[in-house]
Amino acid sequence: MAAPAAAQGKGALAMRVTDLIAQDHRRVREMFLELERMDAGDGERRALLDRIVDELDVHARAEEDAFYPAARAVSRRIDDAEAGHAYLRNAIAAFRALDVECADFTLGVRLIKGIVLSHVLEEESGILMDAQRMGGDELERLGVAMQERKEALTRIRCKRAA
Amino acid sequence: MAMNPFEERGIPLERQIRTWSQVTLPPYRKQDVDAFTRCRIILMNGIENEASVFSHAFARVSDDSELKAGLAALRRVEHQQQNTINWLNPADQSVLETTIAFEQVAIELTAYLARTEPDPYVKQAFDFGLLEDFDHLYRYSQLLDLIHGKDPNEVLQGRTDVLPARPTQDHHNDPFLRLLNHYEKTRAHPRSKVNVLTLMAGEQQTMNFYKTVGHTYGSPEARQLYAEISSVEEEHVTQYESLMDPTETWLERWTMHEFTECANYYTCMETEVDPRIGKIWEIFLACELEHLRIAGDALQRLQGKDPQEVCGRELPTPATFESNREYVTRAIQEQSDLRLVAGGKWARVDELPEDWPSLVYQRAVNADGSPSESVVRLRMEAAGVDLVRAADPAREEAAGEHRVTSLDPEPAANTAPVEYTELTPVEREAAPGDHDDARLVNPVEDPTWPRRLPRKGKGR
Repeated sequence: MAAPAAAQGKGALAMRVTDLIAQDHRRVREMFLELERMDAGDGERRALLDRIVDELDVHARAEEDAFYPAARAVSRRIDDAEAGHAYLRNAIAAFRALDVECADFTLGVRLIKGIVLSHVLEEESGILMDAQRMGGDELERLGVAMQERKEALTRIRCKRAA
Repeated sequence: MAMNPFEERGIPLERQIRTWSQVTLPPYRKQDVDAFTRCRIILMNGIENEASVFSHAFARVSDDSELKAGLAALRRVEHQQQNTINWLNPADQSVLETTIAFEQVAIELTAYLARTEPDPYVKQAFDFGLLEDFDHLYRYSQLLDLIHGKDPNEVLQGRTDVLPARPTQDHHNDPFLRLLNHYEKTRAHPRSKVNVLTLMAGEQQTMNFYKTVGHTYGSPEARQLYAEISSVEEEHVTQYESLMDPTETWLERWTMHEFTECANYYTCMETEVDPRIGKIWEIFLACELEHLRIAGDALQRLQGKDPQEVCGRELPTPATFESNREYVTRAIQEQSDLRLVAGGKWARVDELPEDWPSLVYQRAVNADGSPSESVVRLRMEAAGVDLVRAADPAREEAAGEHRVTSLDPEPAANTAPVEYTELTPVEREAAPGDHDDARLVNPVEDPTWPRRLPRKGKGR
């Protein structure tokens, strides 16, 4: 987990929002690979799946709140991206009701992973390329804003869990 | 009756694999084949070629091994389909005869798509490209006569005129000018998307074909003509692909590719006059219906999008080959002097600014003269006239005048004159008959050499 933006201090190197998003994508992909390596009877499967879903949810909300509104000025792909988030949320909601042990679980993981990878491909080859037109300073500012938003959403989630 | 491909069942993928002998079917006889059957074969090879190019490009950026395996499974089948189709062309059909047929495809396909295109801007783009391909046919026809002593109508069967349009020496543009304005994916008519993809696929295979086969001729004039025209086809691919909305997602594009393949096979099946070839179109349509279902399912499953909202519910008929003579004639008369200008627009030759960007490039590539003019001059020297073929004799008479008057402000140094009488034969270092003579017409085999050949008025 990256250091809180507020703790980075003045002069610290801020991550561009495009790099932050790509970093999140890589992390989720690695978590999917880990999940696929687990045996069907592994009790940790559900816990890891929950972490993936949490990660995706925080990422998507932070992106929608802190990045997409600004990116809309330079990219015509935001409507598609938002629709992609909504589709993913629906698929996750349907999937979460499944029993970890049942055969559909593996199929469900493959489906969610497929949806995520498709979204990642479109975002990285589309919106993140379009966003380069915003310039380095703006991308860094948005990077800080998105990181702060992620942290705020994570804190809320932790409070709820407690 | 129009077909909704989403309501049809195709052949299951596992049953689409064929044996090598089933893949390599007997070719058509070039003496018997209907010119438009040959056009359909050439076009469908181009459609399958684009399917392969696209699928590989998609696979290279995707991180989803399940998706990549699915793409590879379809490619394996479509590879067989392309083999079958392209190898229907017979071994005794020369490269230049095939080239003439490629240009017939480009002309008749572009004209039909322009005639039926619902978007006026896309239609204008098609008209512009049409007049360039039309002129290519005229240039290659000079070469066919010079090298093989054949009349282009042996291939064209009188369905397509052979006349100059926008002179090829002027087709070389600043790349920025070739970029047109794209359609909007949510507002464009599905037929426009299919038309653009079909034409882009056709131009792409033409570029690849010329680039691949140009070396098979020893004559410098022939090699240079292939080099020149293949570079124009390169520009055509740039032009047509720029019409596509870049925000179409990869899965939308995949689905649209499969839909376009269905539309083209469907048209071929409905219009084919050769029953044996017609059966091939029918089987391949059945294969493509399954490919479309697979791609559409992926679009629905991974992006939650209804493929029918992307493609529409009705197959258009892009691969319709029929007479477009009247349409093409009008386009030549009205648009030969159009040129590309910035912003995806067109202007008349006499409206071009002095610093028109394409001139810089034309000065560079045409510095030693234009190969497309060389072949006209050579034909004039060999036969007294350039080779033209038109249903209307008046258009043959006016061809030379049209060719010269539609040039841009800086004609190439070797621009062929309106008529042979204005032509001063080029001095050559080697005497006729020398082994080092690079003439296209071998003087040893040409009994008329060096007799002066008939001039104007003796027929073309």
